[in-house]
Amino acid sequence: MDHPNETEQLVLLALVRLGDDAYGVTIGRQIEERTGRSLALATVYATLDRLEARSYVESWVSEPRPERGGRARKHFRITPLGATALREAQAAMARMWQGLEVHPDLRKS
Amino acid sequence: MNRPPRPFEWLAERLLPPAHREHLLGDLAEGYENRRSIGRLAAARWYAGELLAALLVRAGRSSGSGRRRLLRDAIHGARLTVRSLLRRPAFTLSSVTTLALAIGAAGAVYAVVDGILLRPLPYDGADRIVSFSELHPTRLQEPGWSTVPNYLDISAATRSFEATALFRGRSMSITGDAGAQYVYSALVTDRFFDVFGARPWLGRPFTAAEIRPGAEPVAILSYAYWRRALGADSGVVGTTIEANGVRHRVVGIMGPGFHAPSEWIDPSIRVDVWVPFPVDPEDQPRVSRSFSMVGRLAPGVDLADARAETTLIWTRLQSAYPDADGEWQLRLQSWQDVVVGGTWRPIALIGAVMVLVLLVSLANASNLVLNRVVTRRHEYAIRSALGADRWRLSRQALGEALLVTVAAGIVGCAIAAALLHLLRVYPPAGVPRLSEVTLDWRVIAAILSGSVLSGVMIGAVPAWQAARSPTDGAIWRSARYAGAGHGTRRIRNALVVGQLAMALALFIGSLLVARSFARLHRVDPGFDPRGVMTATVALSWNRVSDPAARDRFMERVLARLRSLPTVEAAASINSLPLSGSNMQNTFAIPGRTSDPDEEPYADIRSVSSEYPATMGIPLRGRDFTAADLIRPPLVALVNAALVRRYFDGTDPIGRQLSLFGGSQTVTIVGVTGNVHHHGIDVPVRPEIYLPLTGDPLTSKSFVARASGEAALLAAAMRRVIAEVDPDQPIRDLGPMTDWVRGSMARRRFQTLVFGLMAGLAVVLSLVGLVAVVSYGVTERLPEIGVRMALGANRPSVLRWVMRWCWMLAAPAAALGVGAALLAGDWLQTFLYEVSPRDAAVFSVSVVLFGVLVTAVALLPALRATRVDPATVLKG
Repeated sequence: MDHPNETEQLVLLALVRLGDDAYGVTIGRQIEERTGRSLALATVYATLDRLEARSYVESWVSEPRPERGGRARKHFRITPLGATALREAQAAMARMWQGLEVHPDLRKS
Repeated sequence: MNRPPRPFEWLAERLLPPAHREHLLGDLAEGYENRRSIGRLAAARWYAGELLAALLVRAGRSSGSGRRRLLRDAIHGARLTVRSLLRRPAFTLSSVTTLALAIGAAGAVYAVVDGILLRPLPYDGADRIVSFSELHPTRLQEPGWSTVPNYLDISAATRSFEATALFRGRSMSITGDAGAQYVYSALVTDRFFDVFGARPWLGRPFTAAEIRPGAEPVAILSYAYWRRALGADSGVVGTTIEANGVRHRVVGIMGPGFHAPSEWIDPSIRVDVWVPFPVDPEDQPRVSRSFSMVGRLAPGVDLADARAETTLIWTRLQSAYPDADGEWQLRLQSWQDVVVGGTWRPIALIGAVMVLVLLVSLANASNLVLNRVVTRRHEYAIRSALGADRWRLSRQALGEALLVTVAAGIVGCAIAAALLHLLRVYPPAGVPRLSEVTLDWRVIAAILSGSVLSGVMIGAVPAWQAARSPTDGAIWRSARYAGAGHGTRRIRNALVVGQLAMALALFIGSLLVARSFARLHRVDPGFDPRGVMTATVALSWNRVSDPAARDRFMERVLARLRSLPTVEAAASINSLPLSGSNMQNTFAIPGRTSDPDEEPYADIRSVSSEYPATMGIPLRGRDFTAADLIRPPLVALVNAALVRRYFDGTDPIGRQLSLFGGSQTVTIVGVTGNVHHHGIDVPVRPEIYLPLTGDPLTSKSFVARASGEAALLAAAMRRVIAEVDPDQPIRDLGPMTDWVRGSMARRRFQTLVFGLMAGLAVVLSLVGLVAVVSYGVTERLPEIGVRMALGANRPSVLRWVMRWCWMLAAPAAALGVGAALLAGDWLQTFLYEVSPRDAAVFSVSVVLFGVLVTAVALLPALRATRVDPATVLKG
């Protein structure tokens, strides 16, 4: 199992937070609100594509909706495999952080 | 709800990756709606940004390392393209070669157009230099001639010019330690260098005092001459050189590259010495139009202002001097127009021909690339099914086209360089500024960007075809059956028809030009150049100023020439036929009341005795004898054209002519045949031959008829002239046949260029036809197999394929003939005694075209008949 990269982790975490309401617009907004990083929709979808290819996420299509110009939403949900990968990534990071306190001036010593 | 702007949605619908198109469009609509509250502009900007990001992501197909991926992709794609091109060397080689030829030739033509027509002349403020011409409505006059009094009057009155000048060209011999040297010089007035925006690089220009008659002789030298002949010695200024037998003090050296007004006198020469033009306001006839006037526009004045002002001045001069100027018009033209104006048409013709050839070769290459796309439709279908997006496939088709054209562009640069080299080594006669035609970075940039553009043009259709490569059934059908759709076939057919039509039009044009050239070859020049050797000298100044010494020199050379055992006859003349030298004047026939509007006009030549015999010109009446060589002359010969025009064909022998404004009267003693003096293709003008005495032209030619080979006389003539006067340089030494050849050089060059281009176009278009028909045959092999299995015999298959070729050739022939007819009026000026609608040429062209099409069509047709139905049907 390969670790999701940072953008992928952000998207996966957004999926966890959003639950059943996760689709392009909300995922982008969630990440922007929490991290200040704005991802282009196309980037979000490209990331979701890669995650879906590794079965970390699954998707389904909603009914067409008028506020979207009569177009459907594509909803995404994290799979158990995705959740495991996310935990793995978190744990790997935690192990790297263990016992460390990083200050901006650390590199001086 | 608020819809996003329509154009954005329209773009998005087409540009977004199909897999996410629906949802992304929905998300974009929703996001736009959300942002509307901030402002419509902000929302639109966001939408556009998202769209751009989608495109970038799609192109790079990644988010984080987009650009790296894009580059890797591009390299991968290029490698794939190169490999696929190398796998088909025949296709690649033929496309690159044909395109390179066309691009190279087009590049060379562009360089010529750029160097001669477009680029300003190499003078500071070249666009402000203006030429003055006095033109007569009925007399044949070339632009650029004026008179001394008019120059003085206009210069004094005008406010539009900051400087004006008068000049004339003159040959000159400079004598020194190294023997006599022949150079071209110009007599110029004091402001001449100001007009051309130049100052001497060393020393100073002429002063107003130095152009007065009787001033100390001074000279300014060119940089090239100073380096060549004087070893770049900067102490030269202030010393003297002997020019035309007179010591001139050198007052200045011009900067490198300054040779004005060479481009006006004769493009093939370089003026190396400038001497003051002696202007004597009292002693200049108002009618002697043998000088050239130029001016430099004052700052803020344009040509139209200057024209308006000089028109007023000219009207005043006309009423003041009705006899001299009444019938003449003053015309102002930019110097550049006067210098290169005459070359515009031939260059435009070659350019137009070139564009046609380029189009033919582009159509050809486009067809080849298109064929490849269609052949690989099966492969595309599979790759598309395996997940390659169409974008990628069409990128490859476009990439292939680009790679081919850019390679062709690089080879084309080399071809253009070679062609330009040839042009400099064998320059067509009379083309100005050829030395300025170079393959510089501008031309190279033009060629390369042209080839990229060509790549996009020829790749566009195939790329579009690849992009809409259908997956429906293309895999299901075997590759053999996956043929071109109707759309593709229509495009290909249209390309071939267009190619063939353009090639036929060019072919007709080149045959017309060739026929006119052949006509020209059969024209009797009026003399027999075979066996005649010529030597032209520029008589030194001291001999010109002393008529007796000059006549003695001429007589002694002639006597020695006639005494040579290999010489049958020898004579001299002041302006050799076809040499471009000429003198003309009005005359009167006493007792004949002539129309006051049409004063008789003739070319005046000065010849020694034996001239008609030496040149093989028919003569009725008697030749000049030694007794006739007196000043002023009492006798004259006239040509048949003059007799027909001014004596209504009656016998003029014994009649009199009044010359030079009535100052001389001569009796006609003989009538000569008509000589094409101004060019084999120029109508003969009335001519008067006077005995060679007191002739003002400094240039004189000796002609000698050899009893054997003319070339053997060259050394003898050189020796004889050197024996009589070792300080007399020879300007031109060569057989008369060279002058005849030279006078046809321009037409020969046109015929050659036209023929080569037409040949290239015909070959290319036939290659295109074979390619399309061969491809079509391959595509229909199964059909042919079925037909043959069902009983079609070989002749019927042959007929079937041939009919197909004819269906393409017939509309092409109609279009080609139509185009050639339309271009007829334009081609007229390039033809000599051949109608641009010459029926013989048209029918021969069409028949030959038909034969060629049939011949090349046989290749695929015969291949089709060799199909073995069993093999084809078994698959």
